[in-house]
Amino acid sequence: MRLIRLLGAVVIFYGLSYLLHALMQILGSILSQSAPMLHVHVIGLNLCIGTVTTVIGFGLLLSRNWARIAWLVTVTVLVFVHCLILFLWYVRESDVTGQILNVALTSFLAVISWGKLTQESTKKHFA
Amino acid sequence: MSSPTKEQFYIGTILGTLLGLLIFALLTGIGIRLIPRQPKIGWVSTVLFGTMCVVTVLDLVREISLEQDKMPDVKGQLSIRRALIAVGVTLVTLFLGIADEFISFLFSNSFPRPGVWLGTFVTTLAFYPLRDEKHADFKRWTLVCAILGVASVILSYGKDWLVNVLI
Repeated sequence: MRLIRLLGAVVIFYGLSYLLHALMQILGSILSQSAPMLHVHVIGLNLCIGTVTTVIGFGLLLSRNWARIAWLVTVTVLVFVHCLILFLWYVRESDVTGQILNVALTSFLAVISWGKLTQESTKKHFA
Repeated sequence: MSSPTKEQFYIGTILGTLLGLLIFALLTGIGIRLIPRQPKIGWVSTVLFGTMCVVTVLDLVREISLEQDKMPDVKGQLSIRRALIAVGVTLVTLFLGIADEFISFLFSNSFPRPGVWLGTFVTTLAFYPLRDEKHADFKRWTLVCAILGVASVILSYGKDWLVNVLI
Protein backbone atom coordinates (compact mmCIF):
# COMPACT_ATOMS: atom_id res chain seq x y z
CA MET A 1 0.00 0.00 0.00
CA ARG A 2 2.84 2.37 0.85
CA LEU A 3 4.50 1.75 -2.53
CA ILE A 4 1.23 2.46 -4.39
CA ARG A 5 0.78 5.75 -2.52
CA LEU A 6 4.45 6.63 -3.02
CA LEU A 7 4.05 5.96 -6.75
CA GLY A 8 0.93 8.16 -6.72
CA ALA A 9 2.88 10.99 -5.04
CA VAL A 10 5.74 10.61 -7.56
CA VAL A 11 3.27 10.69 -10.46
CA ILE A 12 1.57 13.84 -9.10
CA PHE A 13 5.01 15.46 -8.66
CA TYR A 14 5.90 14.45 -12.23
CA GLY A 15 2.66 16.01 -13.51
CA LEU A 16 3.08 19.20 -11.45
CA SER A 17 6.64 19.65 -12.76
CA TYR A 18 5.31 19.44 -16.34
CA LEU A 19 2.58 21.97 -15.53
CA LEU A 20 5.15 24.31 -13.94
CA HIS A 21 7.42 23.94 -16.99
CA ALA A 22 4.48 24.76 -19.30
CA LEU A 23 3.62 27.79 -17.15
CA MET A 24 7.22 29.02 -17.39
CA GLN A 25 7.11 28.58 -21.18
CA ILE A 26 3.83 30.52 -21.40
CA LEU A 27 5.28 33.35 -19.26
CA GLY A 28 8.44 33.33 -21.42
CA SER A 29 6.34 33.63 -24.59
CA ILE A 30 4.32 36.49 -23.11
CA LEU A 31 7.44 38.37 -21.98
CA SER A 32 9.25 37.91 -25.31
CA GLN A 33 5.98 38.81 -27.13
CA SER A 34 6.51 36.04 -29.68
CA ALA A 35 5.65 32.35 -29.76
CA PRO A 36 6.63 30.23 -32.77
CA MET A 37 4.15 27.52 -33.82
CA LEU A 38 6.48 24.76 -32.60
CA HIS A 39 6.68 26.44 -29.18
CA VAL A 40 2.87 26.51 -28.93
CA HIS A 41 2.71 22.76 -29.70
CA VAL A 42 5.39 22.00 -27.09
CA ILE A 43 3.48 24.04 -24.48
CA GLY A 44 0.28 22.16 -25.38
CA LEU A 45 2.03 18.79 -25.07
CA ASN A 46 3.51 19.72 -21.68
CA LEU A 47 0.10 20.92 -20.42
CA CYS A 48 -1.57 17.69 -21.60
CA ILE A 49 1.08 15.44 -20.00
CA GLY A 50 0.97 17.49 -16.78
CA THR A 51 -2.83 17.44 -16.48
CA VAL A 52 -3.25 13.74 -17.31
CA THR A 53 -0.48 12.54 -15.00
CA THR A 54 -1.65 14.76 -12.10
CA VAL A 55 -5.20 13.36 -12.34
CA ILE A 56 -3.89 9.77 -12.57
CA GLY A 57 -1.57 10.44 -9.62
CA PHE A 58 -4.56 11.39 -7.45
CA GLY A 59 -6.29 8.19 -8.59
CA LEU A 60 -3.25 6.10 -7.60
CA LEU A 61 -3.03 7.87 -4.25
CA LEU A 62 -6.66 6.88 -3.61
CA SER A 63 -6.03 3.30 -4.89
CA ARG A 64 -8.48 3.46 -7.81
CA ASN A 65 -8.31 0.68 -10.39
CA TRP A 66 -8.98 3.01 -13.33
CA ALA A 67 -5.86 4.96 -12.31
CA ARG A 68 -3.77 1.77 -12.25
CA ILE A 69 -4.74 0.86 -15.82
CA ALA A 70 -4.54 4.46 -17.05
CA TRP A 71 -1.07 4.92 -15.54
CA LEU A 72 0.27 1.71 -17.13
CA VAL A 73 -0.95 2.93 -20.54
CA THR A 74 0.24 6.51 -19.98
CA VAL A 75 3.74 5.61 -18.76
CA THR A 76 4.23 3.37 -21.82
CA VAL A 77 3.14 6.17 -24.14
CA LEU A 78 5.39 8.61 -22.25
CA VAL A 79 8.45 6.38 -22.78
CA PHE A 80 7.75 6.29 -26.54
CA VAL A 81 7.11 10.06 -26.68
CA HIS A 82 10.38 10.81 -24.88
CA CYS A 83 12.31 8.40 -27.11
CA LEU A 84 10.84 10.18 -30.15
CA ILE A 85 11.80 13.60 -28.73
CA LEU A 86 15.33 12.29 -28.01
CA PHE A 87 15.60 11.09 -31.63
CA LEU A 88 14.38 14.46 -32.96
CA TRP A 89 16.85 16.32 -30.71
CA TYR A 90 19.65 14.03 -31.97
CA VAL A 91 18.70 14.71 -35.63
CA ARG A 92 18.65 18.48 -34.93
CA GLU A 93 22.12 18.10 -33.37
CA SER A 94 20.93 19.85 -30.16
CA ASP A 95 22.18 19.06 -26.64
CA VAL A 96 20.57 15.70 -25.76
CA THR A 97 21.62 15.49 -22.07
CA GLY A 98 18.24 16.66 -20.76
CA GLN A 99 16.34 14.35 -23.09
CA ILE A 100 18.48 11.33 -22.08
CA LEU A 101 17.67 12.10 -18.43
CA ASN A 102 13.96 12.36 -19.34
CA VAL A 103 14.03 8.97 -21.12
CA ALA A 104 15.95 7.38 -18.22
CA LEU A 105 13.54 8.74 -15.59
CA THR A 106 10.40 7.77 -17.53
CA SER A 107 11.79 4.29 -18.32
CA PHE A 108 12.67 3.80 -14.64
CA LEU A 109 9.09 4.76 -13.67
CA ALA A 110 7.70 2.44 -16.35
CA VAL A 111 9.77 -0.53 -15.15
CA ILE A 112 8.71 -0.01 -11.50
CA SER A 113 5.05 0.52 -12.50
CA TRP A 114 4.82 -2.53 -14.77
CA GLY A 115 6.75 -4.63 -12.26
CA LYS A 116 4.60 -3.72 -9.26
CA LEU A 117 1.14 -2.71 -10.49
CA THR A 118 0.61 -5.93 -12.49
CA GLN A 119 1.20 -8.23 -9.48
CA GLU A 120 -1.87 -10.00 -8.07
CA SER A 121 -0.89 -9.06 -4.50
CA THR A 122 -0.89 -5.38 -5.48
CA LYS A 123 -4.08 -5.52 -7.58
CA LYS A 124 -6.19 -6.48 -4.55
CA HIS A 125 -5.50 -3.10 -2.92
CA PHE A 126 -7.27 -1.28 -5.78
CA ALA A 127 -11.00 -0.51 -5.70
CA MET B 1 -17.74 15.43 7.96
CA SER B 2 -14.56 14.40 9.70
CA SER B 3 -11.84 17.00 9.91
CA PRO B 4 -8.31 15.89 9.08
CA THR B 5 -5.81 15.60 11.89
CA LYS B 6 -2.04 15.19 11.78
CA GLU B 7 -2.26 11.43 12.25
CA GLN B 8 -4.81 10.85 9.50
CA PHE B 9 -4.19 10.15 5.81
CA TYR B 10 -5.41 13.32 4.11
CA ILE B 11 -5.06 14.01 0.40
CA GLY B 12 -4.91 17.81 0.86
CA THR B 13 -1.88 17.58 3.18
CA ILE B 14 -0.06 15.40 0.65
CA LEU B 15 -0.83 17.85 -2.18
CA GLY B 16 0.46 20.73 -0.04
CA THR B 17 3.67 18.81 0.75
CA LEU B 18 4.17 18.01 -2.95
CA LEU B 19 3.73 21.68 -3.92
CA GLY B 20 6.26 22.62 -1.22
CA LEU B 21 8.67 20.02 -2.59
CA LEU B 22 8.22 21.43 -6.11
CA ILE B 23 9.01 24.97 -4.91
CA PHE B 24 12.09 23.82 -2.93
CA ALA B 25 13.32 21.79 -5.94
CA LEU B 26 12.88 24.85 -8.16
CA LEU B 27 14.79 27.05 -5.71
CA THR B 28 17.56 24.42 -5.45
CA GLY B 29 17.83 24.43 -9.25
CA ILE B 30 18.10 28.24 -9.28
CA GLY B 31 20.80 27.99 -6.56
CA ILE B 32 22.82 25.48 -8.63
CA ARG B 33 22.63 27.79 -11.66
CA LEU B 34 23.81 30.72 -9.51
CA ILE B 35 27.02 28.92 -8.36
CA PRO B 36 29.23 29.89 -11.37
CA ARG B 37 28.23 33.58 -11.21
CA GLN B 38 27.70 34.16 -7.47
CA PRO B 39 29.32 31.22 -5.63
CA LYS B 40 28.47 32.30 -2.08
CA ILE B 41 24.75 32.90 -2.65
CA GLY B 42 24.57 29.90 -4.98
CA TRP B 43 26.09 27.44 -2.49
CA VAL B 44 24.06 28.77 0.47
CA SER B 45 20.76 28.54 -1.42
CA THR B 46 21.65 25.10 -2.86
CA VAL B 47 22.48 23.67 0.59
CA LEU B 48 19.51 25.38 2.30
CA PHE B 49 16.83 24.47 -0.24
CA GLY B 50 18.39 21.06 -0.93
CA THR B 51 18.09 20.25 2.78
CA MET B 52 14.49 21.49 2.73
CA CYS B 53 13.84 19.14 -0.22
CA VAL B 54 15.17 16.15 1.74
CA VAL B 55 13.14 17.10 4.84
CA THR B 56 9.99 17.50 2.70
CA VAL B 57 10.53 14.07 1.08
CA LEU B 58 10.89 12.47 4.55
CA ASP B 59 7.70 14.23 5.68
CA LEU B 60 5.91 13.00 2.53
CA VAL B 61 6.94 9.40 3.20
CA ARG B 62 5.64 9.75 6.79
CA GLU B 63 2.31 11.17 5.56
CA ILE B 64 1.67 8.45 2.99
CA SER B 65 2.50 5.78 5.56
CA LEU B 66 -0.47 6.79 7.75
CA GLU B 67 -3.52 4.47 7.90
CA GLN B 68 -2.09 1.96 5.46
CA ASP B 69 -4.45 -0.81 6.48
CA LYS B 70 -7.64 0.96 5.31
CA MET B 71 -8.91 2.78 2.24
CA PRO B 72 -8.98 6.58 2.71
CA ASP B 73 -12.42 8.05 3.39
CA VAL B 74 -12.30 10.57 0.55
CA LYS B 75 -16.00 11.51 0.67
CA GLY B 76 -15.71 12.27 4.37
CA GLN B 77 -12.70 14.49 3.74
CA LEU B 78 -14.25 16.44 0.87
CA SER B 79 -15.26 19.97 1.75
CA ILE B 80 -16.20 22.54 -0.88
CA ARG B 81 -15.65 25.42 1.54
CA ARG B 82 -12.13 24.24 2.43
CA ALA B 83 -11.28 23.71 -1.26
CA LEU B 84 -12.67 27.14 -2.18
CA ILE B 85 -10.58 28.82 0.53
CA ALA B 86 -7.40 27.06 -0.65
CA VAL B 87 -8.03 27.85 -4.34
CA GLY B 88 -9.14 31.42 -3.53
CA VAL B 89 -6.09 32.38 -1.47
CA THR B 90 -3.76 30.79 -4.06
CA LEU B 91 -5.38 32.73 -6.90
CA VAL B 92 -5.29 36.02 -4.95
CA THR B 93 -1.59 35.47 -4.12
CA LEU B 94 -0.72 34.72 -7.76
CA PHE B 95 -2.82 37.61 -9.09
CA LEU B 96 -1.37 40.19 -6.71
CA GLY B 97 2.14 38.93 -7.44
CA ILE B 98 1.79 39.10 -11.23
CA ALA B 99 -0.44 42.19 -11.56
CA ASP B 100 1.69 44.63 -9.54
CA GLU B 101 1.98 47.41 -12.18
CA PHE B 102 -1.60 46.86 -13.33
CA ILE B 103 -2.91 47.42 -9.79
CA SER B 104 -0.89 50.59 -9.27
CA PHE B 105 -2.23 51.84 -12.63
CA LEU B 106 -5.79 51.10 -11.53
CA PHE B 107 -5.24 52.90 -8.25
CA SER B 108 -4.02 56.11 -9.87
CA ASN B 109 -5.17 56.46 -13.48
CA SER B 110 -8.24 54.38 -14.27
CA PHE B 111 -11.55 56.26 -14.61
CA PRO B 112 -13.80 54.07 -12.40
CA ARG B 113 -10.90 53.33 -10.01
CA PRO B 114 -11.84 49.74 -9.26
CA GLY B 115 -8.53 49.37 -7.44
CA VAL B 116 -9.58 51.95 -4.84
CA TRP B 117 -12.92 50.24 -4.36
CA LEU B 118 -11.38 46.76 -4.16
CA GLY B 119 -8.66 47.87 -1.75
CA THR B 120 -11.15 49.44 0.67
CA PHE B 121 -13.60 46.55 0.32
CA VAL B 122 -11.02 43.85 1.10
CA THR B 123 -9.32 45.80 3.89
CA THR B 124 -12.57 46.65 5.69
CA LEU B 125 -13.81 43.08 5.20
CA ALA B 126 -10.74 41.89 7.12
CA PHE B 127 -12.18 43.58 10.25
CA TYR B 128 -15.08 41.10 10.30
CA PRO B 129 -13.45 38.57 12.67
CA LEU B 130 -13.03 41.32 15.29
CA ARG B 131 -16.82 41.80 15.60
CA ASP B 132 -18.81 40.31 18.50
CA GLU B 133 -20.48 36.95 17.98
CA LYS B 134 -23.96 38.48 18.44
CA HIS B 135 -23.27 41.19 15.84
CA ALA B 136 -21.78 38.77 13.32
CA ASP B 137 -23.82 39.09 10.13
CA PHE B 138 -21.49 38.46 7.22
CA LYS B 139 -23.89 39.51 4.42
CA ARG B 140 -24.65 42.82 6.10
CA TRP B 141 -20.96 43.49 6.80
CA THR B 142 -20.10 42.70 3.12
CA LEU B 143 -22.69 45.29 2.02
CA VAL B 144 -21.25 47.85 4.45
CA CYS B 145 -17.75 47.17 3.10
CA ALA B 146 -18.98 47.61 -0.50
CA ILE B 147 -20.53 50.99 0.43
CA LEU B 148 -17.30 52.02 2.20
CA GLY B 149 -15.47 51.15 -1.03
CA VAL B 150 -17.78 53.49 -2.96
CA ALA B 151 -17.12 56.17 -0.31
CA SER B 152 -13.38 55.75 -0.91
CA VAL B 153 -13.86 56.19 -4.66
CA ILE B 154 -15.95 59.36 -4.13
CA LEU B 155 -13.30 60.67 -1.72
CA SER B 156 -10.61 59.94 -4.28
CA TYR B 157 -12.47 61.93 -6.97
CA GLY B 158 -13.14 64.74 -4.47
CA LYS B 159 -9.44 64.95 -3.59
CA ASP B 160 -8.47 65.17 -7.29
CA TRP B 161 -11.09 67.88 -7.89
CA LEU B 162 -9.87 69.84 -4.88
CA VAL B 163 -6.23 69.60 -6.01
CA ASN B 164 -7.23 70.88 -9.49
CA VAL B 165 -9.20 73.79 -7.98
CA LEU B 166 -6.45 74.79 -5.56
CA ILE B 167 -3.50 74.51 -7.97
